[in-house]
Amino acid sequence: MQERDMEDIFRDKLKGFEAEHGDRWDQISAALPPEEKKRRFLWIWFSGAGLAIAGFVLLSLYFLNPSKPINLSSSENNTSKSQTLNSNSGPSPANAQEDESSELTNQAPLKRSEPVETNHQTSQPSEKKASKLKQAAKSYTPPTKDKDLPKQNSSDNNGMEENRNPVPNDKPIPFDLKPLEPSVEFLAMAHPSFKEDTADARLPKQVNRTSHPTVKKLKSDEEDLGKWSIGIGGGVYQTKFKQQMPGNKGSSQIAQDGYIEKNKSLREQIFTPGITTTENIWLRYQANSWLSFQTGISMMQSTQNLSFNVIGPSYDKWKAPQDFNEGAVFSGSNSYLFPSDSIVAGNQYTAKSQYFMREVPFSIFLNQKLGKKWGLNFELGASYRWVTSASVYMPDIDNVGMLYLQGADSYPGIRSTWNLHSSFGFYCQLNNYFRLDVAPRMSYSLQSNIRYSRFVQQYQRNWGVELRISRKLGF
Amino acid sequence: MNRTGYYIGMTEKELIQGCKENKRLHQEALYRKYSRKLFGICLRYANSEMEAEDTMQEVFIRIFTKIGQYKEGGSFEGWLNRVCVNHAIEVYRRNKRLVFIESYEGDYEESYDTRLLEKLGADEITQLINTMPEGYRMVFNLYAIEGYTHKDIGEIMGISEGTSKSQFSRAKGHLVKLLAKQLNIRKEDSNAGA
Repeated sequence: MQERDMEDIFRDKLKGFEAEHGDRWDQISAALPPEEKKRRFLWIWFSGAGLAIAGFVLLSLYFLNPSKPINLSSSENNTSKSQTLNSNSGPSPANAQEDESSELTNQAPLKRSEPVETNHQTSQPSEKKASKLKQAAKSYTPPTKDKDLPKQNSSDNNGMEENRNPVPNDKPIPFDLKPLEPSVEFLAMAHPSFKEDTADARLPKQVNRTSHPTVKKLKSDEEDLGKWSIGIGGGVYQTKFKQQMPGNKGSSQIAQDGYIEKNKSLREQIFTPGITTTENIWLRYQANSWLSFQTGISMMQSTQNLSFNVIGPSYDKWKAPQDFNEGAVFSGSNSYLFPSDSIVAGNQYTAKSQYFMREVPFSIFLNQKLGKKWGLNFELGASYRWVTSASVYMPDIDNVGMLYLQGADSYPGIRSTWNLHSSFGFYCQLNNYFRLDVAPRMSYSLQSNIRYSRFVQQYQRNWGVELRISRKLGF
Repeated sequence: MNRTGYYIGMTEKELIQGCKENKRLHQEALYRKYSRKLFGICLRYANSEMEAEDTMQEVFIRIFTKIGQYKEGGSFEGWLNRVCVNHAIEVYRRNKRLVFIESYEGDYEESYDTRLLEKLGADEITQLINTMPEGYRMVFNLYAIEGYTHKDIGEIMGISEGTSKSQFSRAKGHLVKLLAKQLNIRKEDSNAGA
C-alpha cells in the first residue's frame, strides 16, 4: 500500500476536525490583560456635559443678572462723549451734522424708545438763537490743515469731556473728505459764546439699545425676544416592552447553537409594563409663530419585569449571562451560573431588569397660540437611543443579581436603536421669558436587529407625561 | 455549525480587529468560534484530554497576546493552526521526557487496507494517534498531518532526519497494528450482531 494514501486519508479526515471540550474561557479571560474601559461614548458624555454646562451658565447669567435700569446721567453721557465735539478746540466738520442734530434733539424731552430723527424734524431754533448763530458764522474759518484739527485731551476743554474727538490725532482727514460747510447751528455750538445756550447739546444722543433686555422689557408682551430657548424637563412613562425572536418559534433559518439552540424555548420573552423616567436638557429654535425645532440630550431609566415560560427541556448548567445577553460584555464576577436543573421545564419565571439609556432627540413642533398665554403643541420627532448599562436579576432563583451590562452593543435586543416619538400638549407662557410645557407623550421604538444573526424584533412603547420649562435666550 | 450566538454576524475582520483592541467580546467570540478546531489539534499532541485543554488554554492566551503579529491577507485560520502547532511543539520541548528513539532503517512493510481507514471517523483517528507513544505521535503529526519535512522535524525535535523517518515508519506500523485490531473488533461486532 502506498504511504501517500495513508497520509492523505489522515489529512482529509482531520481537516477541520473539531472536538468538544470543557469551557476554559473564564480562565483565559482572567489571564488576559484587563480590557480598557470603553471610550467610544466619551464624546457623547462630553458633549452632554458641555451642553449642560452651557445651559447652566446661560441660565445663571440671566437669573443672576436681573435687568438694570439704564443710568442716563452717567453711562450714556459717557457714550455720548466720544460722539460730541469739543467746542473749544474747534469742530470737526465730519461730525458737525451729528452735533447739530444733537442740539436739536435735546430740545425735546428724552425718550428712550423714540428715534432721534423724529425730533430733528420737528424742532426749530428760536429767532434769537438764529441771529446769534449768524454772527458766529461770520467769524468762523474752517480748518484746512492737520494742525487746525482738534486734538484729543485738549487743555481747553473745560475738563468736561475727554476723547470727544473721533478723529485720531495721527490721521489727517482724507483728501477727498472736503470739509462740509458748517450749519448755523453748528457754528453756534462751536462758538464759546454760545456755550451756555448749547450746554444741552452735550447731553447724549440717543443710541439704539433695543437689544438690551431692559429695553425689551419695556416693550409690549408681543415683542419678539429671540428665536432660541433653552430648557430642562423630565417625564414619567409607563413602559411596555416586547421582544420576539422568530427563532424561538422554529421559524428561523438562521443557525443557532449553544445555549441559544438548546434553550430556544426561552427565546420568547415578554416584558410586562414597567416605569421609565427621563430627564433632559434641550435647545429650541422657534422658526416662526407656528413652527419650532428642538434637540438636546436625555437620560432614561427604565425598570421592567420580564417573564418567560420554559416549555423546552430543563436547563442543565444554564448560564444566565449567555442566555440573556447573547454576547454581552460582562465580567466573570458578575456572571451567575445557575445550579443544574434550576430552570425547570413547564415553569414560568420572572426577572427584574433595569436599563439606563441615553437619547438624543430631534423634534419638530407645530404650535398654535390660544391667546397671549396659552398654546397647543404637536410634536413629532425621532431620536437615537442607546443603552449605557443594564442589570437583570431573577427573584425566583436565589434572588441574585446576575447580569450587568455596559455599552450600547451589549444587548442586541435593547441596544442602540432609532426611536420615534410624538406628543400633543399645551403650554403656558408664564411671562415674557418663561414657558411651561405639559405634554402627554408617547414614544415607540421598533428595531429589527439582525446582529449576531439574531433576528430580534422588538418594540418598546412609552407613554406618559412630560414637563418642560424653558426660557428665551433673547437672541 | 455555529456554536453560539457570539460570533454570528461578526466578520472575521471585525473579530480580529476587536481582538487586537483587546475587547473581551471579540476575544470570547473568537474563542467560541475556533476553540473546538484548535482543541482537535491539541488533542493530537497531548497525552490526555485534560492536557489538551490546558494546551488549548495556553494557545488562546498566546493568540490574544500575539494577534498583533497577524498580518491581513493571509489565512487567519492557518495562522491560528500554526500558533497552535508551534505551541504544542514548545510544550513537547518543555516537557521533553527521556524518550528512547531507536534508529530504524527501511520502511515498514506490513500491508493494511485503506478501506478500513476510510471507514474511520476523525475522532477515531485522533484516538488512534493518541494511543501512539509520544515520540511517534509527534513525528507522525508533524509529517503526515502538518506537512513538515523530516529535515524540519529533525530540527524541531532535536533528532536526525533519519531518525525522524524511522520514527514515522514505526508510527505507521503502530497504526497499522491498531487498525488491524480495530478491524477485528468490528468484524467480531458484526458477527455477533448477525
